[in-house]
Amino acid sequence: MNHAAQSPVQVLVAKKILTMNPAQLYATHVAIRDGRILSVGNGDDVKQWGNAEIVDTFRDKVLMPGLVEGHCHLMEGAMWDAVYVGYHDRRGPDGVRCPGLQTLDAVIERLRAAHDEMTDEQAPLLAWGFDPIFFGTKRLSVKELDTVCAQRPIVILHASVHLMNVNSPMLTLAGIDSETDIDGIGKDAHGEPTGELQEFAAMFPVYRLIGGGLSIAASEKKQAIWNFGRVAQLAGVTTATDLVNDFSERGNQNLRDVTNDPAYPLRIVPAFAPQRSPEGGPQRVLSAIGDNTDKLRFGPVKFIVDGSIQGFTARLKWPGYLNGKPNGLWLIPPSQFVEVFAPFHEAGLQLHIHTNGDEATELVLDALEKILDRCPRHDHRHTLQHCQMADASQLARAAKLGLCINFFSNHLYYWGDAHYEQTMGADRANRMNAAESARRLGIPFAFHSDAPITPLNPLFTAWCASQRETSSGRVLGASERVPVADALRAITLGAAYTLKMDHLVGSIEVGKFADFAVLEEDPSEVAPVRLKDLEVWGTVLGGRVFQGPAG
Amino acid sequence: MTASGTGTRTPIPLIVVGGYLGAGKTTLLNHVLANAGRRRITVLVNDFGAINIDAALIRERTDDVINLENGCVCCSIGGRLVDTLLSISNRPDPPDFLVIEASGVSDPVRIAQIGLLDRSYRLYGIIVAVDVSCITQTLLDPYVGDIARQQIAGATAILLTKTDLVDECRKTEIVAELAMSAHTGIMLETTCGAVPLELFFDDNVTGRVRAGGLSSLNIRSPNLPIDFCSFVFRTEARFDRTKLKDALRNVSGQLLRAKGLIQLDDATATHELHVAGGRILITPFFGEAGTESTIVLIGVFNDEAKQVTLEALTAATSAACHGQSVPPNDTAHQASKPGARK
Repeated sequence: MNHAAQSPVQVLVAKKILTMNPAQLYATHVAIRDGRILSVGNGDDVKQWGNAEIVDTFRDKVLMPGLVEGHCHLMEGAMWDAVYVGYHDRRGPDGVRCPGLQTLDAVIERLRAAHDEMTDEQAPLLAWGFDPIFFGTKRLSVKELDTVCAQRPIVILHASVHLMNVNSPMLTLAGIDSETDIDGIGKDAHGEPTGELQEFAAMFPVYRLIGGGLSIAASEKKQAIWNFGRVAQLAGVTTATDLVNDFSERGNQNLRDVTNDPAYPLRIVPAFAPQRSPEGGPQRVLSAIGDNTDKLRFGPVKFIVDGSIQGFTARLKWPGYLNGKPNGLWLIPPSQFVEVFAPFHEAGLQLHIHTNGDEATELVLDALEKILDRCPRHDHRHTLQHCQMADASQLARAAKLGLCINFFSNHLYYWGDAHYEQTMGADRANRMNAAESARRLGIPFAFHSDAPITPLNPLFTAWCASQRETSSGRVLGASERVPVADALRAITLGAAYTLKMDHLVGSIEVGKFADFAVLEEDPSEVAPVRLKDLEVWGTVLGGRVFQGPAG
Repeated sequence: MTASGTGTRTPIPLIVVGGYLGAGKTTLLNHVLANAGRRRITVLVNDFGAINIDAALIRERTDDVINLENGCVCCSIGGRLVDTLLSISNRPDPPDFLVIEASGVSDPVRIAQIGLLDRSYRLYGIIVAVDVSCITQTLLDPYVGDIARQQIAGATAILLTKTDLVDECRKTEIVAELAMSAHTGIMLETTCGAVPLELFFDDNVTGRVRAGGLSSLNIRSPNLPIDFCSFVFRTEARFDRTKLKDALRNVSGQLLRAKGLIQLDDATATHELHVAGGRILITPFFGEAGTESTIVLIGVFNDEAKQVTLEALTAATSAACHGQSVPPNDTAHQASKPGARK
């Protein structure tokens, strides 16, 4: 900006500004020039910069830093092409709150309504977000789904994305019947398929039918990027990751085109995933960084070493899964962790490593210890993603190694009961996502949604971390509850730190982007139990106002 | 709707090659490619880390190598593996054969099962390479021992590699150790990846039908099978579905694979039978077929085992169920090696 001094200044006046800057926690005025924060304080403070346009849109609102979601996926934007049939309310890109469905009948009813609206006779009906865990022993089966339609194939992807339910036309198309002799096909007492499918091979014929629908490679579609931006905006988010990105030419071009549009309400941080895109290595990320813009920031590198706890594919230490299921799977052989991670570390890049189970966490700590002994680096900020089962000794090691942790705190609510009763048992469920331990150890931490796995809504995630309540109301490990102030820091500055963006976003301070979440109330002052219910009016991104539709 | 287009094409034979890191998967794959003759083989390498080396080695043998760093097979919504398998089967000119080299820590069974359901692929085998010089250590490894054991359990044939690094006595111990986890009784010893092509290609087996064994394979250990062969069962009688499955499951330890066109007593249409890894696929057959049932079995069968199997298959026909007179030695079934009958 050669003529920055001549650009006009705007002053936003708010009922209250929660800056997240500990040196000046609250303010009422924020001056903006060139999309950046020029000054924060009271009316007199911000006058120093001369004449300004006073904007009082937020006179009765509360501003806080735009929220930062450090672990979610663009795929959230692709899901909304399908019908949402989850248990909890969820807002779509249009801002309309899609009510949660608390009975199987309600699920069927919504599918029927969606079916009646379809004009293409041939197209399959796709739905997502279903979670049978909330319905006890009751299950959806072909019988119920066939009442929606017995001709059109119907596919319902579960919230975990590890299972699906289909109707009988889909079974027929897939060639699945009582004779089918492979794993992952649910069968009833008479040996007939129930329509519940899991495992790769069982779901493969469904993928064949639905093609690119519901794909994680969402940057291939501009519409999905737009939808993702809108969903984020509705939750007060101004910076979000796409934590598994293919770096395809078309995908990157789409991301550049969409984020360049001033009307696009989000900064996106795509993480390169060498496990999906083998070619190029560190150089591929370094080159992409050269093209970074204010709204599209390449840099992080993502690795996935184990599976998921609720899918029983996470790698657990002794005593393993409570229900006796065999241990999970490795996506990278542990003996290769060092050789796989090291080139990216040595190139100066930042690693984000998915470790769900405590055995996975342990071996990743071992590997990072070796790498850092061999090639020490200041301020690497390598981040353990999920890190749900880490115990005190592992957290202490993470602290010593200078790691950040981004906890999957939403699990406490969505799968906490399942973890307590089926996967981990009380001892380990009570210590899961141990953010308060991490805080005491001085580990930089954040919380995340892993959207579309759970809804993208950091205020809800902060509630999970500070209340630790499961969906049945059980409290898991009250001693790991994080104070609200720290929970709010985790979804702003904390997450920004794990993305090496804390110099740009995460607090309302001079020099940073003018990114705000606009709320009706001050989250630092409401009763902690209400954090999840706070209304988000919209966002401000680089000084531009994005009002969300009323939800 | 893309599903309908693939229904009528001949399925692509699929072999999944598994085994822990360093077991010799790539070496044996290269041997197969070098001896594949005019067959057009697509190779999908689903390994991590050493991938570039592997792919380069394989690329010397075939142009059609697809790199696939280890995707998450458990949650492959839009995963690369899905995309790749779809695109291979949708090619206008699909390959004669697809070989997937599975990651060293993956369970090859998970991928292989598409060949027992999806219409585009037919599973020919899950071949797991085992490095005899370090398998004992691998099985004891607290982090990957369970996975190595799972790979061995899922194999339809086990290839012992690097056997020159251990003595005969040790080899015998290892075979006994593997037999505790393995469902298959088919264990072959190889040097320098010299895998018997019979494991991959039917026509190699057919050519050897009368040989009664694979003397050329440098098989020395008494613990290793020498009766690798194929034989045919034919009958004019119709099969009882359940009994047929039982009969085939009973020989799954010796059977590499079986396939055939069969008549069932509960269906008018001819059905296609395919057996691999102890799993059975029976689907309606839409081509032209005669009225008799023919099953080709490939595996490790000595003359006695062959005879028992043929009798079990005879007993699985409805003629046998209903006590109709089928003399045990008439032409209702025929081993392709008739002289072997005792």
